[in-house]
Amino acid sequence: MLSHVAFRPKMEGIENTRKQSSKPRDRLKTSTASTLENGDSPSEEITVSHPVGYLHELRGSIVRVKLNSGHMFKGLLHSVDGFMNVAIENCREFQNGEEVRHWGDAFLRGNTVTYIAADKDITSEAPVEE
Amino acid sequence: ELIDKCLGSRVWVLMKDDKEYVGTLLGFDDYVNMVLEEAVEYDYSYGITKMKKVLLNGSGVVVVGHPTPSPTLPC
Repeated sequence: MLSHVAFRPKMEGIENTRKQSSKPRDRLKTSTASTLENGDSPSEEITVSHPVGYLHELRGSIVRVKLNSGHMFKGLLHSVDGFMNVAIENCREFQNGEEVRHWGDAFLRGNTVTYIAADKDITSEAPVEE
Repeated sequence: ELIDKCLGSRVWVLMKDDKEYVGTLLGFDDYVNMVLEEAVEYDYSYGITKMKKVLLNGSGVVVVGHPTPSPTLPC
């Protein structure tokens, strides 16, 4: 006779909790464009061939930065931002291929930068012989 | 869009300071900063520098076009 009594309230409580646990999954959405720490960046997809992706790949390696004035700096690339401002560690200044000065840590303003290249990527240099 | 068509092909870039770069255009952004692969820098006061990969600052770019057969340095 006691079996007729269905003890249901507790079962309903369990069902409710199960429904709630499925919701948090919707909140997790992986973003396609990663947000970059240093400065602003274009909204398109960022790959290594893209300027911003290329700069991030360069971080931590020795780079050669040439300025509009013709100054050349080599050093360990610490960080870059969207304006091509560059922070370089153990920076050495070169003029005409010869080391002129040795800076510890240097900050180069992006608007004066002509190009940034990884130093290991320089395959050959041929100065003009006059 | 015009530069989009050059993606993956050899381009010749002329800068404000009369430097020329010839390389394969890997990518660029809204400011025409360009990533070139197997690039050669022709600096008439210095010489030639070959680089596997370089990022060129778009603010100094004047012309982007097809490379001439063999750029010669003035004697």
